[in-house]
Amino acid sequence: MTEQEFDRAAGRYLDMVYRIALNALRRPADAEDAAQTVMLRLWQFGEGFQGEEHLRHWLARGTVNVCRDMARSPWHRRMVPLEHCPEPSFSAPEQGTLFRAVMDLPGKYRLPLYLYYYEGYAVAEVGELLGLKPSTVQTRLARGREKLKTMLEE
Amino acid sequence: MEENYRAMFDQVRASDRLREEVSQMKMHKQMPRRRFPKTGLIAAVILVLLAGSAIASVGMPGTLRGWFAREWEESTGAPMTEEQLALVDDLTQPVGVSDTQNSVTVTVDSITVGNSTMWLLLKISGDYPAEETLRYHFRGIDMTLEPDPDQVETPGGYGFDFPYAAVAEDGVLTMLVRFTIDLAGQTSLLDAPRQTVLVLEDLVCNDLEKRGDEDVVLSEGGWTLTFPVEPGEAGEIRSLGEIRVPAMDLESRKIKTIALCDVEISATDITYVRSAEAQEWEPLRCALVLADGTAVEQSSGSSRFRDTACTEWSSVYYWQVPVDLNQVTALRFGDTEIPLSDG
Repeated sequence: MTEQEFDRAAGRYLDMVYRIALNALRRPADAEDAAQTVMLRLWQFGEGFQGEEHLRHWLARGTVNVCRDMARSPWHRRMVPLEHCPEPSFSAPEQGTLFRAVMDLPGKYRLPLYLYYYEGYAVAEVGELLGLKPSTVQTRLARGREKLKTMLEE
Repeated sequence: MEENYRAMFDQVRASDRLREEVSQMKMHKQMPRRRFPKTGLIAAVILVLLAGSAIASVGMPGTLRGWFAREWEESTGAPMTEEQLALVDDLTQPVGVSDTQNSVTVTVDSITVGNSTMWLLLKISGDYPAEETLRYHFRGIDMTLEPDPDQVETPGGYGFDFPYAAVAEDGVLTMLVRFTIDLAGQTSLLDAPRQTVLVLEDLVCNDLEKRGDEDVVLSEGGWTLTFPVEPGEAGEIRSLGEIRVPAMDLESRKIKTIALCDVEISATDITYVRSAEAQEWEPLRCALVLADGTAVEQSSGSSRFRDTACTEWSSVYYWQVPVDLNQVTALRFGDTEIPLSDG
């Protein structure tokens, strides 16, 4: 991958990588670390992409895997309370409320919701990215939506 | 709600700092340093270590000496000197302990031990493909030391990373595991004989290039490797007392000068303490400057309170490779160099 190609990919997809990582890991610092790892892999190994969608899918898939590795990596006694992590700044207070509600959702709902509703992946694609059956994705989307609605009403 | 959801995430963007680090990534072969999460926490530890992500690297040397020599050359641009190699030899102990599960034998070939870090060279029996995109690792890893070297009564931490894992030059699947522990500068892995128990779970592999690169289990099982770590000379320790260095508030990106006290530099790490009030101010990236002009930078690090009253915030950063301090002329934080006498 040339520097120009890498810069272009970073410019276009770094936000997506970061958002996927944030949905997976919740903590912004961890999400940044995951995003760095993914982009480093792109720089080291990213070659032969057959079009824009292949690159995007490779990055999304790689981010999911890196986050999965980070979540199960053997860091011990790591204790950074989530409430001490800074959250993104939003133009409207209700967006901050929605963000906190999304981050309070159980992890298994956050990523399917994000990939489906924000990135626009189809249910089957979300399943392929996350290693889930389409029926499981459907269930998690429905329950995630329901939980989010309940949390916002409370 | 879907529209609000999308509008909300439109505003969640990678930070300028992350963009800058990714942009600079092209100049580095390895992961830039990780950051301390920005916190106002009290009596909580922040463990900052490289993620457990082994980067496959085909054709790496099959010995710790060979790996350090190559790592040195790649990170400094200069060949490792005889003095540096002699230091690596001093810190390296042969082990040769094995455990076999499901016909796969894992051997701890040798270890290189410093004050608060240990590199373990693992050899794994069997035939494995050597493609660069294959990423070998163990699904689980943990290690205990007896007696426990951590004598500080505040939350601390330890962790692992895999600087490389691949089929080495000798054709053997080889993994380099780096264990780091935050001892707050109070004790050393080398100050007493210790029994070490390394536990590994499930040998797995994934292919970075393939779509849907799920881990493939190569061999299920739990390997337990017990071996001694002999006490030894950690080499020279440079004590600097108090120094003043540039530090950044990671939230505001402001930089100011702060005081670090009890600064101690060893062949494998640097430890220092700052006041709890200065906890938010992270010293700029640290490096050792050698007489020939090369620099060895910090890699990962960790911080914790050194005292139960939570007044002394102690940090340790590990050098990328062991360094013979006799060759060091200065300590550098950002662009600020602090000359070391008798270097």
